[in-house]
Amino acid sequence: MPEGITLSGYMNQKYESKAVKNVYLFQLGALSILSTGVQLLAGSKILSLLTGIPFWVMTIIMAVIAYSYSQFSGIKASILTDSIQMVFMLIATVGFAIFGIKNGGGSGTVITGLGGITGDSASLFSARGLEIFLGFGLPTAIGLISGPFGDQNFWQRVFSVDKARIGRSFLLGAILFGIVPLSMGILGFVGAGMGYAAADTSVINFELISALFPAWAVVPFLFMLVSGLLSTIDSNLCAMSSLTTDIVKNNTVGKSKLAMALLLVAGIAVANIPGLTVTHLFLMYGTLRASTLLPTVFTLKGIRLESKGVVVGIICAMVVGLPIFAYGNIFGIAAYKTAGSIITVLLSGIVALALSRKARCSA
Amino acid sequence: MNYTIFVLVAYLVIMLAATVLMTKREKQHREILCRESEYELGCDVTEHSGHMDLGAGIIYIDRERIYQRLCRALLVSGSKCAVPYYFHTVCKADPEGNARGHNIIRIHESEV
Repeated sequence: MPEGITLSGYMNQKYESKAVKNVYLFQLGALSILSTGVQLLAGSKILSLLTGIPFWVMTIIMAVIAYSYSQFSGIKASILTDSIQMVFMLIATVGFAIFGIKNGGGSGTVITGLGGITGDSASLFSARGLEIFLGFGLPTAIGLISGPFGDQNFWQRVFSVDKARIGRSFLLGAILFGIVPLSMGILGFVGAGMGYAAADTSVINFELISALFPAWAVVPFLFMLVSGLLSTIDSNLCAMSSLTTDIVKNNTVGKSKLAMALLLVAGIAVANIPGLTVTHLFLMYGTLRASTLLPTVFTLKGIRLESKGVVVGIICAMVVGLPIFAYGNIFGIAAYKTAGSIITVLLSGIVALALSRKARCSA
Repeated sequence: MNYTIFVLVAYLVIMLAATVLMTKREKQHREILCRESEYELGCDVTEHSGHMDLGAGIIYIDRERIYQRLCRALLVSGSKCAVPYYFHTVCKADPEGNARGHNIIRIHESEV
């Protein structure tokens, strides 16, 4: 796989098609921008609230911090800092979950909170339960499952691990990653069980930590927050630097660093779009990631596809599925979000298979 | 506000220190490796040639590290007893009819 250090390079190698490479490059590039945007948006919102520094200035500060250490040793630096950041996050989240349950009134509060603050979400099959599942749970699950198949961050890490240890590394990574949302989710149930009403739902985690813990607890919380967000940004920077090898001929370290800086500029611009929320952006990039899921999986499994089928399939997913999802996302309509998410993931695979079969029959 | 700025600065210092230390260590490691490689390769080649001239069947290389770090596949005339345990040896008849015996292709364990 001589050109396989990027997902787009691998697809180019497999299909010997520039169109396939370009459509993957577009998806991977857009994904990096949106992902960077959402991290800057989420972090800067809380940090700006705490420091009084204007939001847009805070997005620049966060971007500069991420760039300052990422530009030293690329993926090696990213993996090293990811490990340190993961330690911060695990210590903080597990500590917050354990002491959150204790301070919030015990496990009874967690059980009471399972149904949400209004208590109408206790069952998956209740009206509210279904709405949450279709509007958030399902698109999130599709977006996260698509990650290893449609995100250069994962692809790059596969090449950074010993071949014999890839499976074990990814399993351990998944388990450790799972602890973070699970712990913070438990804290959310504690808050709901206590009947805590958030002043601003976009920074509810910070509000809850301030309510449940002494003032000093904000320090580990901020470490955890900054670690989680900046680790994704530095991974995106590395992903973009490797994608540059597919875009620029005779790539140099200088050009890769320039691409990293441009990614941050684009991410800052996205984070500063008025009215954009973290949930909107998070769900959107997850669904974008799903647009290449099936063609990539088919290719990896050795299912023969034609390059035209792959290109048309992915474009159909982006042109049809994504706008439906975006509409549902913006207007908060769960049915549209579900339909958009499922159409995005399925359409690329179905169209790719159908066109490939048609091309083979007519040949 | 103060502790938020403190957290950001502390975070930046930790990450920068970790990456700078790693970069320095890697650079240092590469430099040492290059110096030792030149030296050891020189010895290896000299010894190899010397023994070949004498028609000796054994080449002794006293530092295993050179294999660990540098060798991926070596073709050396008759040196079975000098091959460390982490190498797999594949003996084959000398294709050029070398009277001194066999060529041993040593393959690093990770490549088997």
